Amino acid sequence: MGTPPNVMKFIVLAGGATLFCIPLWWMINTSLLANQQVFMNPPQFFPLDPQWKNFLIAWRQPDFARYLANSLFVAFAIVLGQLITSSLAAYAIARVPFRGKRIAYALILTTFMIPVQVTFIPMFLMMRQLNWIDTYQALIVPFLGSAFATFWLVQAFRQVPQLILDAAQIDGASHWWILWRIVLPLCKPSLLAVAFLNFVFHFNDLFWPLISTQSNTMRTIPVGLTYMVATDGSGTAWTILMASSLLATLPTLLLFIAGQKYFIQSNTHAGLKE
Amino acid sequence: MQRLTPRQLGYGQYNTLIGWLFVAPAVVLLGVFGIGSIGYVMYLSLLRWNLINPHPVFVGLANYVELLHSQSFLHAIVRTFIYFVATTGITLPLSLLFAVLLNGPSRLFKFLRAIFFIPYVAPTVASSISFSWLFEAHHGLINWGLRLFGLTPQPWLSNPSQAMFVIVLLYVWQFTGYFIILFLNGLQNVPQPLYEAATIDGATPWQQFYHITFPLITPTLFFVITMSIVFSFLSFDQVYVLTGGGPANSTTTLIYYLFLQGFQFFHIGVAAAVAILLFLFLGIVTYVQFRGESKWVHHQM
Repeated sequence: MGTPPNVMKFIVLAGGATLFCIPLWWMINTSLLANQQVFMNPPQFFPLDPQWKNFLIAWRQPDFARYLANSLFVAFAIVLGQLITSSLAAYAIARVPFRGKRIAYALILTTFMIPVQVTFIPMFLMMRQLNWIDTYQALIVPFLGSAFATFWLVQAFRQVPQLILDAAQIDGASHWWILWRIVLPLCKPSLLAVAFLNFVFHFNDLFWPLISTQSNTMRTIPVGLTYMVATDGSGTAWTILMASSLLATLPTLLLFIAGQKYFIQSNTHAGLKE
Repeated sequence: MQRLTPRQLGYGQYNTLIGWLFVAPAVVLLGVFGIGSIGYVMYLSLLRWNLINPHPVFVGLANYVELLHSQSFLHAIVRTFIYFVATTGITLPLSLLFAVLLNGPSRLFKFLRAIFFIPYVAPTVASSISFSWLFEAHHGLINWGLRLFGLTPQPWLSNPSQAMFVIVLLYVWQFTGYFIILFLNGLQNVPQPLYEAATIDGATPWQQFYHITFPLITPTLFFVITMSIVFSFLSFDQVYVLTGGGPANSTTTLIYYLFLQGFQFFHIGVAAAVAILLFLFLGIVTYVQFRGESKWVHHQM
Protein backbone atom coordinates (compact mmCIF):
# COMPACT_ATOMS: atom_id res chain seq x y z
CA MET A 1 0.00 0.00 0.00
CA GLY A 2 2.87 2.45 -0.61
CA THR A 3 3.77 4.66 2.33
CA PRO A 4 2.80 3.37 5.77
CA PRO A 5 -0.10 5.30 7.33
CA ASN A 6 1.99 6.65 10.20
CA VAL A 7 4.43 8.35 7.86
CA MET A 8 1.54 9.89 5.92
CA LYS A 9 -0.01 11.07 9.16
CA PHE A 10 3.25 12.64 10.25
CA ILE A 11 3.77 14.41 6.91
CA VAL A 12 0.24 15.87 6.93
CA LEU A 13 0.56 17.08 10.53
CA ALA A 14 4.06 18.49 10.17
CA GLY A 15 3.18 20.20 6.90
CA GLY A 16 -0.02 21.65 8.32
CA ALA A 17 1.63 22.89 11.49
CA THR A 18 4.46 24.50 9.51
CA LEU A 19 2.02 26.34 7.25
CA PHE A 20 0.05 27.51 10.26
CA CYS A 21 3.20 28.88 11.87
CA ILE A 22 4.12 31.09 8.93
CA PRO A 23 2.02 34.19 9.69
CA LEU A 24 3.14 34.36 13.31
CA TRP A 25 6.73 33.52 12.44
CA TRP A 26 6.73 36.22 9.80
CA MET A 27 5.46 38.71 12.33
CA ILE A 28 8.18 37.78 14.84
CA ASN A 29 10.88 37.70 12.18
CA THR A 30 9.99 41.06 10.64
CA SER A 31 9.70 42.70 14.05
CA LEU A 32 13.36 41.85 14.68
CA LEU A 33 14.82 42.92 11.32
CA ALA A 34 16.46 46.21 10.49
CA ASN A 35 14.44 48.43 8.18
CA GLN A 36 16.53 47.87 5.08
CA GLN A 37 16.51 44.09 5.56
CA VAL A 38 12.74 43.97 5.12
CA PHE A 39 12.93 44.53 1.38
CA MET A 40 15.82 42.18 0.63
CA ASN A 41 15.60 39.54 -2.06
CA PRO A 42 15.64 36.70 -1.09
CA PRO A 43 13.93 37.63 2.18
CA GLN A 44 15.66 37.21 5.52
CA PHE A 45 14.05 34.19 7.15
CA PHE A 46 15.85 34.54 10.46
CA PRO A 47 16.78 37.70 12.32
CA LEU A 48 20.49 36.98 12.61
CA ASP A 49 21.11 40.35 14.19
CA PRO A 50 17.88 40.87 16.16
CA GLN A 51 16.90 44.52 16.46
CA TRP A 52 15.33 44.52 19.92
CA LYS A 53 15.11 48.28 19.76
CA ASN A 54 12.14 47.89 17.38
CA PHE A 55 10.04 46.92 20.38
CA LEU A 56 11.20 49.97 22.27
CA ILE A 57 10.28 52.17 19.32
CA ALA A 58 6.88 50.47 19.07
CA TRP A 59 6.28 50.89 22.79
CA ARG A 60 7.16 54.58 22.65
CA GLN A 61 4.70 55.38 19.90
CA PRO A 62 2.20 57.98 21.12
CA ASP A 63 -0.45 56.39 23.37
CA PHE A 64 0.66 52.83 22.62
CA ALA A 65 1.05 51.89 26.29
CA ARG A 66 -2.26 53.57 27.03
CA TYR A 67 -4.09 51.54 24.36
CA LEU A 68 -2.64 48.35 25.75
CA ALA A 69 -3.49 49.27 29.35
CA ASN A 70 -7.04 50.19 28.32
CA SER A 71 -7.55 46.83 26.62
CA LEU A 72 -6.19 44.93 29.59
CA PHE A 73 -8.29 46.88 32.06
CA VAL A 74 -11.50 46.65 30.05
CA ALA A 75 -11.17 42.94 29.26
CA PHE A 76 -10.26 42.17 32.86
CA ALA A 77 -13.19 44.17 34.26
CA ILE A 78 -15.65 42.55 31.84
CA VAL A 79 -14.50 39.03 32.62
CA LEU A 80 -14.56 39.59 36.37
CA GLY A 81 -18.08 41.02 36.15
CA GLN A 82 -19.23 38.18 33.91
CA LEU A 83 -17.85 35.57 36.27
CA ILE A 84 -19.78 37.10 39.15
CA THR A 85 -23.12 37.54 37.38
CA SER A 86 -22.85 34.22 35.55
CA SER A 87 -21.84 32.07 38.51
CA LEU A 88 -24.65 33.48 40.62
CA ALA A 89 -27.21 32.89 37.88
CA ALA A 90 -25.79 29.51 36.92
CA TYR A 91 -25.83 28.30 40.51
CA ALA A 92 -29.45 29.33 40.99
CA ILE A 93 -30.44 27.65 37.74
CA ALA A 94 -28.45 24.49 38.26
CA ARG A 95 -28.93 24.01 41.98
CA VAL A 96 -31.72 26.04 43.58
CA PRO A 97 -35.33 24.92 43.12
CA PHE A 98 -37.40 28.09 42.78
CA ARG A 99 -40.53 29.34 41.06
CA GLY A 100 -39.88 31.11 37.79
CA LYS A 101 -36.58 29.38 37.19
CA ARG A 102 -37.63 28.14 33.75
CA ILE A 103 -38.62 31.65 32.68
CA ALA A 104 -35.34 33.13 33.90
CA TYR A 105 -33.29 30.48 32.12
CA ALA A 106 -35.34 30.77 28.95
CA LEU A 107 -34.68 34.51 28.92
CA ILE A 108 -30.96 33.99 29.35
CA LEU A 109 -30.86 31.34 26.64
CA THR A 110 -32.81 33.56 24.26
CA THR A 111 -30.11 36.19 24.46
CA PHE A 112 -27.64 33.46 23.52
CA MET A 113 -29.10 33.73 20.03
CA ILE A 114 -28.44 37.46 19.76
CA PRO A 115 -25.02 38.22 18.29
CA VAL A 116 -23.68 41.31 20.08
CA GLN A 117 -22.76 42.95 16.79
CA VAL A 118 -26.40 43.36 15.75
CA THR A 119 -27.09 45.25 18.98
CA PHE A 120 -24.32 47.81 18.48
CA ILE A 121 -26.57 50.48 16.95
CA PRO A 122 -29.09 50.56 19.82
CA MET A 123 -26.29 50.11 22.34
CA PHE A 124 -24.46 53.07 20.84
CA LEU A 125 -27.62 55.17 21.17
CA MET A 126 -28.16 54.03 24.76
CA MET A 127 -24.57 55.00 25.59
CA ARG A 128 -25.15 58.36 23.95
CA GLN A 129 -28.26 58.97 26.03
CA LEU A 130 -26.37 58.05 29.19
CA ASN A 131 -23.53 60.35 28.14
CA TRP A 132 -21.20 57.37 28.34
CA ILE A 133 -19.65 57.61 24.89
CA ASP A 134 -15.87 57.67 25.25
CA THR A 135 -15.84 56.33 28.81
CA TYR A 136 -14.83 53.04 30.40
CA GLN A 137 -18.47 52.44 31.34
CA ALA A 138 -19.40 52.25 27.67
CA LEU A 139 -16.63 49.72 27.07
CA ILE A 140 -17.49 47.56 30.07
CA VAL A 141 -21.09 47.76 31.32
CA PRO A 142 -22.95 46.42 28.23
CA PHE A 143 -20.99 43.16 28.46
CA LEU A 144 -21.27 42.41 32.18
CA GLY A 145 -23.91 39.76 31.60
CA SER A 146 -23.00 36.80 29.43
CA ALA A 147 -25.43 34.17 28.20
CA PHE A 148 -22.53 32.06 26.99
CA ALA A 149 -20.77 32.09 30.37
CA THR A 150 -24.02 31.39 32.21
CA PHE A 151 -24.90 28.47 29.95
CA TRP A 152 -21.38 27.07 30.23
CA LEU A 153 -21.37 27.30 34.03
CA VAL A 154 -24.85 25.77 34.33
CA GLN A 155 -23.44 22.71 32.56
CA ALA A 156 -20.46 22.64 34.91
CA PHE A 157 -22.41 23.24 38.13
CA ARG A 158 -24.84 20.42 37.28
CA GLN A 159 -21.95 17.98 37.45
CA VAL A 160 -21.21 18.66 41.11
CA PRO A 161 -22.42 15.59 43.03
CA GLN A 162 -25.71 16.25 44.85
CA LEU A 163 -24.43 14.31 47.88
CA ILE A 164 -21.89 16.99 48.70
CA LEU A 165 -24.50 19.75 48.48
CA ASP A 166 -26.99 17.77 50.57
CA ALA A 167 -24.39 17.23 53.25
CA ALA A 168 -23.63 20.95 53.38
CA GLN A 169 -27.32 21.85 53.51
CA ILE A 170 -28.00 19.43 56.34
CA ASP A 171 -25.21 21.16 58.23
CA GLY A 172 -27.12 24.39 57.74
CA ALA A 173 -24.96 25.98 55.04
CA SER A 174 -26.50 28.82 53.06
CA HIS A 175 -26.57 28.82 49.25
CA TRP A 176 -24.07 31.63 49.29
CA TRP A 177 -21.63 29.54 51.31
CA ILE A 178 -22.17 26.43 49.19
CA LEU A 179 -21.55 28.37 45.98
CA TRP A 180 -18.48 30.13 47.31
CA ARG A 181 -16.88 27.29 49.26
CA ILE A 182 -17.90 24.15 47.38
CA VAL A 183 -19.18 24.72 43.86
CA LEU A 184 -16.77 27.38 42.63
CA PRO A 185 -13.59 25.63 43.85
CA LEU A 186 -14.77 22.35 42.30
CA CYS A 187 -15.51 24.03 38.97
CA LYS A 188 -12.30 26.01 38.70
CA PRO A 189 -11.32 24.50 35.32
CA SER A 190 -14.64 25.52 33.76
CA LEU A 191 -14.42 29.01 35.27
CA LEU A 192 -10.92 29.48 33.92
CA ALA A 193 -11.86 28.21 30.48
CA VAL A 194 -14.84 30.53 30.07
CA ALA A 195 -12.90 33.44 31.57
CA PHE A 196 -10.13 32.88 29.07
CA LEU A 197 -12.42 32.63 26.04
CA ASN A 198 -14.28 35.80 26.96
CA PHE A 199 -11.08 37.62 27.83
CA VAL A 200 -9.72 36.84 24.38
CA PHE A 201 -12.94 38.02 22.74
CA HIS A 202 -13.08 41.35 24.56
CA PHE A 203 -9.37 42.06 24.54
CA ASN A 204 -9.32 41.53 20.77
CA ASP A 205 -12.62 43.19 19.87
CA LEU A 206 -12.39 46.06 17.42
CA PHE A 207 -15.96 46.91 16.43
CA TRP A 208 -17.43 48.18 19.72
CA PRO A 209 -14.41 50.24 20.92
CA LEU A 210 -14.20 51.71 17.44
CA ILE A 211 -17.70 53.16 17.64
CA SER A 212 -18.05 53.79 21.38
CA THR A 213 -14.81 55.71 21.96
CA GLN A 214 -13.38 58.82 20.32
CA SER A 215 -10.34 60.10 22.19
CA ASN A 216 -6.93 58.47 22.18
CA THR A 217 -7.03 58.10 25.95
CA MET A 218 -10.04 55.75 25.64
CA ARG A 219 -9.03 53.75 22.58
CA THR A 220 -8.08 50.11 22.97
CA ILE A 221 -5.16 48.35 21.35
CA PRO A 222 -7.02 46.89 18.33
CA VAL A 223 -8.23 50.39 17.42
CA GLY A 224 -4.77 51.80 18.09
CA LEU A 225 -3.20 49.26 15.75
CA THR A 226 -5.50 50.25 12.91
CA TYR A 227 -4.28 53.84 13.29
CA MET A 228 -0.72 52.72 12.86
CA VAL A 229 -1.61 51.08 9.57
CA ALA A 230 -3.57 54.06 8.37
CA THR A 231 -1.12 56.80 9.27
CA ASP A 232 1.84 55.07 7.71
CA GLY A 233 0.53 55.50 4.19
CA SER A 234 2.96 54.64 1.43
CA GLY A 235 6.16 54.03 3.33
CA THR A 236 4.89 51.47 5.82
CA ALA A 237 7.43 50.81 8.57
CA TRP A 238 6.82 47.08 8.61
CA THR A 239 9.35 46.35 11.35
CA ILE A 240 7.64 48.67 13.83
CA LEU A 241 4.17 47.65 12.71
CA MET A 242 5.03 43.99 13.27
CA ALA A 243 6.64 44.77 16.63
CA SER A 244 3.46 46.64 17.66
CA SER A 245 1.25 43.76 16.49
CA LEU A 246 3.36 41.29 18.40
CA LEU A 247 3.17 43.37 21.59
CA ALA A 248 -0.61 43.44 21.15
CA THR A 249 -0.67 39.67 20.76
CA LEU A 250 1.48 38.99 23.80
CA PRO A 251 -1.12 39.30 26.63
CA THR A 252 -3.57 36.73 25.26
CA LEU A 253 -0.74 34.53 24.02
CA LEU A 254 0.93 34.42 27.44
CA LEU A 255 -2.40 33.73 29.15
CA PHE A 256 -2.99 30.90 26.72
CA ILE A 257 0.43 29.37 27.30
CA ALA A 258 0.04 29.68 31.07
CA GLY A 259 -3.39 28.06 31.20
CA GLN A 260 -3.22 25.80 28.17
CA LYS A 261 -4.25 22.65 29.98
CA TYR A 262 -7.56 24.21 30.96
CA PHE A 263 -8.45 25.59 27.57
CA ILE A 264 -7.67 22.98 24.98
CA GLN A 265 -7.29 19.70 26.78
CA SER A 266 -11.02 19.41 26.06
CA ASN A 267 -13.68 18.16 28.39
CA THR A 268 -13.13 20.64 31.18
CA HIS A 269 -15.86 19.10 33.30
CA ALA A 270 -14.15 15.71 33.36
CA GLY A 271 -13.05 15.73 36.99
CA LEU A 272 -16.55 16.18 38.31
CA LYS A 273 -18.49 13.23 36.97
CA GLU A 274 -20.29 11.30 39.67
CA MET B 1 -26.78 37.72 53.64
CA GLN B 2 -26.50 36.46 57.21
CA ARG B 3 -30.09 37.23 58.09
CA LEU B 4 -31.53 35.28 55.21
CA THR B 5 -31.12 31.86 56.68
CA PRO B 6 -33.28 28.89 55.75
CA ARG B 7 -34.36 28.55 59.38
CA GLN B 8 -35.96 31.96 59.52
CA LEU B 9 -37.73 31.71 56.20
CA GLY B 10 -38.46 28.05 55.58
CA TYR B 11 -36.83 26.30 52.65
CA GLY B 12 -39.36 27.11 49.96
CA GLN B 13 -39.27 30.85 50.53
CA TYR B 14 -35.56 30.88 51.11
CA ASN B 15 -34.94 29.12 47.80
CA THR B 16 -37.23 31.44 45.89
CA LEU B 17 -35.64 34.51 47.39
CA ILE B 18 -32.08 33.34 46.76
CA GLY B 19 -32.97 32.02 43.31
CA TRP B 20 -34.25 35.39 42.15
CA LEU B 21 -31.51 37.36 43.91
CA PHE B 22 -28.88 35.24 42.19
CA VAL B 23 -30.33 35.37 38.69
CA ALA B 24 -31.29 39.05 38.93
CA PRO B 25 -28.00 40.68 37.81
CA ALA B 26 -27.64 38.44 34.75
CA VAL B 27 -31.32 38.69 33.84
CA VAL B 28 -31.38 42.48 34.16
CA LEU B 29 -28.19 43.00 32.14
CA LEU B 30 -29.12 40.53 29.42
CA GLY B 31 -32.66 41.81 29.42
CA VAL B 32 -31.60 45.41 28.85
CA PHE B 33 -28.61 44.98 26.55
CA GLY B 34 -29.77 41.83 24.78
CA ILE B 35 -33.53 41.72 24.50
CA GLY B 36 -33.97 45.46 25.05
CA SER B 37 -31.49 46.19 22.28
CA ILE B 38 -33.32 43.92 19.86
CA GLY B 39 -36.59 45.70 20.61
CA TYR B 40 -34.90 49.07 20.18
CA VAL B 41 -33.20 48.12 16.92
CA MET B 42 -36.55 46.85 15.57
CA TYR B 43 -38.06 50.23 16.33
CA LEU B 44 -35.08 52.06 14.79
CA SER B 45 -35.45 50.02 11.61
CA LEU B 46 -38.81 51.69 11.07
CA LEU B 47 -37.34 55.20 11.13
CA ARG B 48 -35.56 57.46 8.72
CA TRP B 49 -32.94 59.14 10.84
CA ASN B 50 -29.39 60.48 10.49
CA LEU B 51 -28.53 60.86 14.21
CA ILE B 52 -28.27 64.66 13.98
CA ASN B 53 -31.87 65.52 13.17
CA PRO B 54 -33.81 65.67 16.45
CA HIS B 55 -37.00 64.42 14.73
CA PRO B 56 -36.70 60.99 13.16
CA VAL B 57 -39.39 60.23 10.59
CA PHE B 58 -41.46 57.08 10.97
CA VAL B 59 -41.39 55.31 7.62
CA GLY B 60 -42.78 51.87 8.40
CA LEU B 61 -41.15 49.12 6.40
CA ALA B 62 -39.65 51.49 3.84
CA ASN B 63 -36.07 50.73 4.91
CA TYR B 64 -36.61 47.02 4.29
CA VAL B 65 -38.20 47.67 0.91
CA GLU B 66 -35.32 49.94 -0.01
CA LEU B 67 -32.78 47.31 1.04
CA LEU B 68 -34.42 44.58 -1.00
CA HIS B 69 -34.26 46.83 -4.05
CA SER B 70 -30.70 47.92 -3.42
CA GLN B 71 -28.11 46.32 -5.64
CA SER B 72 -25.34 47.00 -3.14
CA PHE B 73 -27.24 45.22 -0.37
CA LEU B 74 -28.09 42.20 -2.50
CA HIS B 75 -24.46 42.00 -3.58
CA ALA B 76 -23.39 42.13 0.06
CA ILE B 77 -25.66 39.14 0.77
CA VAL B 78 -24.18 37.18 -2.12
CA ARG B 79 -20.62 38.04 -1.03
CA THR B 80 -21.36 37.00 2.53
CA PHE B 81 -22.61 33.62 1.31
CA ILE B 82 -19.56 33.18 -0.90
CA TYR B 83 -17.37 34.05 2.07
CA PHE B 84 -19.23 31.61 4.31
CA VAL B 85 -19.15 28.75 1.78
CA ALA B 86 -15.45 29.27 1.00
CA THR B 87 -14.30 29.64 4.61
CA THR B 88 -16.40 26.78 5.94
CA GLY B 89 -15.72 24.58 2.94
CA ILE B 90 -12.01 24.74 3.67
CA THR B 91 -11.96 25.05 7.47
CA LEU B 92 -14.41 22.26 8.26
CA PRO B 93 -12.70 19.32 6.46
CA LEU B 94 -9.27 20.61 7.42
CA SER B 95 -10.05 20.83 11.13
CA LEU B 96 -11.83 17.46 11.11
CA LEU B 97 -8.81 15.87 9.44
CA PHE B 98 -6.39 17.38 11.95
CA ALA B 99 -8.68 16.47 14.85
CA VAL B 100 -8.81 12.83 13.78
CA LEU B 101 -5.02 12.78 13.37
CA LEU B 102 -4.45 14.55 16.70
CA ASN B 103 -6.86 12.42 18.71
CA GLY B 104 -4.63 10.92 21.36
CA PRO B 105 -2.82 11.65 24.59
CA SER B 106 0.70 12.06 23.19
CA ARG B 107 2.65 15.15 24.21
CA LEU B 108 3.47 15.94 20.60
CA PHE B 109 -0.25 16.03 19.84
CA LYS B 110 -0.85 18.42 22.73
CA PHE B 111 1.87 20.67 21.41
CA LEU B 112 0.46 20.63 17.88
CA ARG B 113 -3.04 21.38 19.15
CA ALA B 114 -1.62 24.45 20.86
CA ILE B 115 0.15 25.49 17.65
CA PHE B 116 -3.10 25.31 15.69
CA PHE B 117 -5.00 27.13 18.43
CA ILE B 118 -2.68 30.13 18.76
CA PRO B 119 -4.10 32.01 15.73
CA TYR B 120 -7.52 31.97 17.45
CA VAL B 121 -6.01 33.70 20.48
CA ALA B 122 -4.14 36.41 18.57
CA PRO B 123 -6.03 39.70 18.09
CA THR B 124 -7.71 39.67 14.68
CA VAL B 125 -6.36 43.14 13.96
CA ALA B 126 -2.77 41.98 14.54
CA SER B 127 -3.33 38.87 12.41
CA SER B 128 -4.87 40.97 9.66
CA ILE B 129 -1.84 43.26 9.67
CA SER B 130 0.41 40.22 9.46
CA PHE B 131 -1.58 38.95 6.46
CA SER B 132 -1.42 42.33 4.77
CA TRP B 133 2.36 42.09 5.02
CA LEU B 134 2.48 38.47 3.79
CA PHE B 135 0.34 39.38 0.79
CA GLU B 136 1.96 42.74 0.12
CA ALA B 137 2.32 43.10 -3.65
CA HIS B 138 6.00 44.06 -3.99
CA HIS B 139 7.91 42.68 -1.05
CA GLY B 140 5.44 40.23 0.50
CA LEU B 141 6.53 36.69 1.29
CA ILE B 142 3.77 35.08 -0.77
CA ASN B 143 4.71 36.85 -3.99
CA TRP B 144 8.36 36.03 -3.36
CA GLY B 145 7.29 32.37 -3.09
CA LEU B 146 5.37 32.63 -6.37
CA ARG B 147 8.40 34.11 -8.14
CA LEU B 148 10.57 31.36 -6.71
CA PHE B 149 8.39 28.79 -8.48
CA GLY B 150 8.41 30.86 -11.67
CA LEU B 151 4.83 32.08 -11.22
CA THR B 152 3.55 35.60 -11.74
CA PRO B 153 3.28 37.71 -8.58
CA GLN B 154 -0.31 38.73 -7.88
CA PRO B 155 -1.77 42.06 -6.74
CA TRP B 156 -3.77 40.24 -3.97
CA LEU B 157 -5.44 42.94 -1.87
CA SER B 158 -5.95 45.36 -4.77
CA ASN B 159 -7.66 42.74 -6.94
CA PRO B 160 -11.36 42.11 -6.16
CA SER B 161 -11.43 38.31 -6.27
CA GLN B 162 -7.98 37.88 -4.77
CA ALA B 163 -8.80 40.21 -1.86
CA MET B 164 -11.71 37.90 -1.04
CA PHE B 165 -9.32 34.95 -1.23
CA VAL B 166 -6.97 36.59 1.30
CA ILE B 167 -9.72 37.23 3.87
CA VAL B 168 -10.93 33.65 3.37
CA LEU B 169 -7.42 32.33 4.09
CA LEU B 170 -7.18 34.51 7.18
CA TYR B 171 -10.40 32.94 8.47
CA VAL B 172 -9.08 29.44 7.79
CA TRP B 173 -5.92 30.29 9.69
CA GLN B 174 -7.82 31.78 12.63
CA PHE B 175 -10.55 29.21 13.16
CA THR B 176 -9.08 25.83 12.22
CA GLY B 177 -7.51 25.42 15.66
CA TYR B 178 -10.75 26.28 17.43
CA PHE B 179 -12.74 23.80 15.35
CA ILE B 180 -10.07 21.13 15.98
CA ILE B 181 -10.77 21.47 19.72
CA LEU B 182 -14.54 21.25 19.16
CA PHE B 183 -14.11 18.13 17.00
CA LEU B 184 -11.75 16.56 19.53
CA ASN B 185 -14.46 17.03 22.15
CA GLY B 186 -16.87 15.22 19.85
CA LEU B 187 -14.39 12.44 19.14
CA GLN B 188 -14.16 11.70 22.86
CA ASN B 189 -17.73 10.45 22.70
CA VAL B 190 -16.85 7.72 20.23
CA PRO B 191 -16.32 4.50 22.19
CA GLN B 192 -12.85 3.03 21.58
CA PRO B 193 -14.04 -0.63 21.49
CA LEU B 194 -15.84 0.12 18.21
CA TYR B 195 -12.48 0.79 16.54
CA GLU B 196 -10.92 -2.29 18.07
CA ALA B 197 -13.77 -4.44 16.80
CA ALA B 198 -13.56 -2.85 13.36
CA THR B 199 -9.81 -3.40 13.18
CA ILE B 200 -10.28 -7.07 14.03
CA ASP B 201 -12.86 -7.31 11.25
CA GLY B 202 -10.29 -5.85 8.87
CA ALA B 203 -11.80 -2.38 8.29
CA THR B 204 -9.47 0.17 6.70
CA PRO B 205 -8.89 3.50 8.46
CA TRP B 206 -11.12 5.18 5.87
CA GLN B 207 -13.93 2.67 6.44
CA GLN B 208 -13.57 3.19 10.18
CA PHE B 209 -13.85 6.92 9.73
CA TYR B 210 -16.83 6.71 7.40
CA HIS B 211 -18.83 4.08 9.32
CA ILE B 212 -17.89 4.79 12.93
CA THR B 213 -16.42 8.23 13.50
CA PHE B 214 -18.49 10.24 11.06
CA PRO B 215 -21.98 9.10 12.17
CA LEU B 216 -21.08 9.51 15.83
CA ILE B 217 -19.72 13.03 15.54
CA THR B 218 -22.63 14.47 13.54
CA PRO B 219 -23.80 16.47 16.58
CA THR B 220 -20.39 18.14 16.71
CA LEU B 221 -20.43 18.60 12.95
CA PHE B 222 -23.71 20.50 13.06
CA PHE B 223 -22.50 22.55 16.00
CA VAL B 224 -19.30 23.50 14.15
CA ILE B 225 -21.24 24.44 11.02
CA THR B 226 -23.49 26.68 13.11
CA MET B 227 -20.48 28.31 14.73
CA SER B 228 -18.92 28.81 11.33
CA ILE B 229 -22.05 30.48 9.96
CA VAL B 230 -22.07 32.85 12.92
CA PHE B 231 -18.32 33.59 12.76
CA SER B 232 -18.28 34.14 9.00
CA PHE B 233 -21.37 36.34 9.00
CA LEU B 234 -19.86 38.47 11.77
CA SER B 235 -16.28 38.78 10.48
CA PHE B 236 -15.75 42.49 10.75
CA ASP B 237 -12.18 43.17 11.90
CA GLN B 238 -10.63 41.25 9.01
CA VAL B 239 -12.49 43.32 6.42
CA TYR B 240 -11.95 46.60 8.24
CA VAL B 241 -8.19 46.18 8.44
CA LEU B 242 -7.31 44.28 5.27
CA THR B 243 -9.57 45.75 2.61
CA GLY B 244 -11.95 48.34 4.06
CA GLY B 245 -14.64 46.54 2.06
CA GLY B 246 -12.85 47.09 -1.22
CA PRO B 247 -11.50 47.03 -3.83
CA ALA B 248 -14.71 48.07 -5.58
CA ASN B 249 -16.83 46.76 -2.67
CA SER B 250 -15.65 43.23 -3.45
CA THR B 251 -15.26 42.41 0.25
CA THR B 252 -18.20 44.38 1.66
CA THR B 253 -19.99 41.65 3.54
CA LEU B 254 -23.26 42.18 5.45
CA ILE B 255 -21.64 43.12 8.75
CA TYR B 256 -19.38 45.60 7.00
CA TYR B 257 -22.36 46.97 5.06
CA LEU B 258 -24.11 47.46 8.41
CA PHE B 259 -21.07 49.32 9.74
CA LEU B 260 -20.89 51.59 6.67
CA GLN B 261 -24.60 52.40 6.74
CA GLY B 262 -24.76 52.96 10.49
CA PHE B 263 -21.45 54.48 11.43
CA GLN B 264 -20.08 56.03 8.24
CA PHE B 265 -23.21 57.29 6.44
CA PHE B 266 -25.37 57.51 9.60
CA HIS B 267 -28.36 55.90 7.90
CA ILE B 268 -29.52 54.60 11.27
CA GLY B 269 -32.82 53.18 10.02
CA VAL B 270 -31.24 51.29 7.13
CA ALA B 271 -28.43 49.94 9.32
CA ALA B 272 -31.00 48.85 11.92
CA ALA B 273 -32.94 47.00 9.23
CA VAL B 274 -29.75 45.21 8.17
CA ALA B 275 -29.14 44.31 11.82
CA ILE B 276 -32.64 42.86 12.12
CA LEU B 277 -32.27 40.76 8.97
CA LEU B 278 -28.88 39.53 10.17
CA PHE B 279 -30.31 38.77 13.60
CA LEU B 280 -33.28 36.87 12.17
CA PHE B 281 -31.07 34.74 9.95
CA LEU B 282 -28.46 33.96 12.62
CA GLY B 283 -31.12 33.56 15.31
CA ILE B 284 -32.98 30.99 13.21
CA VAL B 285 -29.76 29.11 12.43
CA THR B 286 -28.77 28.98 16.10
CA TYR B 287 -32.26 28.01 17.17
CA VAL B 288 -32.51 25.21 14.64
CA GLN B 289 -29.14 23.87 15.79
CA PHE B 290 -30.20 24.08 19.43
CA ARG B 291 -33.55 22.37 18.92
CA GLY B 292 -32.79 20.07 16.06
CA GLU B 293 -29.65 18.58 17.52
CA SER B 294 -31.46 15.69 19.12
CA LYS B 295 -33.61 14.95 16.10
CA TRP B 296 -31.44 14.65 13.04
CA VAL B 297 -28.35 13.15 14.40
CA HIS B 298 -27.05 9.81 15.47
CA HIS B 299 -26.45 9.70 19.16
CA GLN B 300 -24.23 7.33 20.93
CA MET B 301 -26.06 4.21 21.99
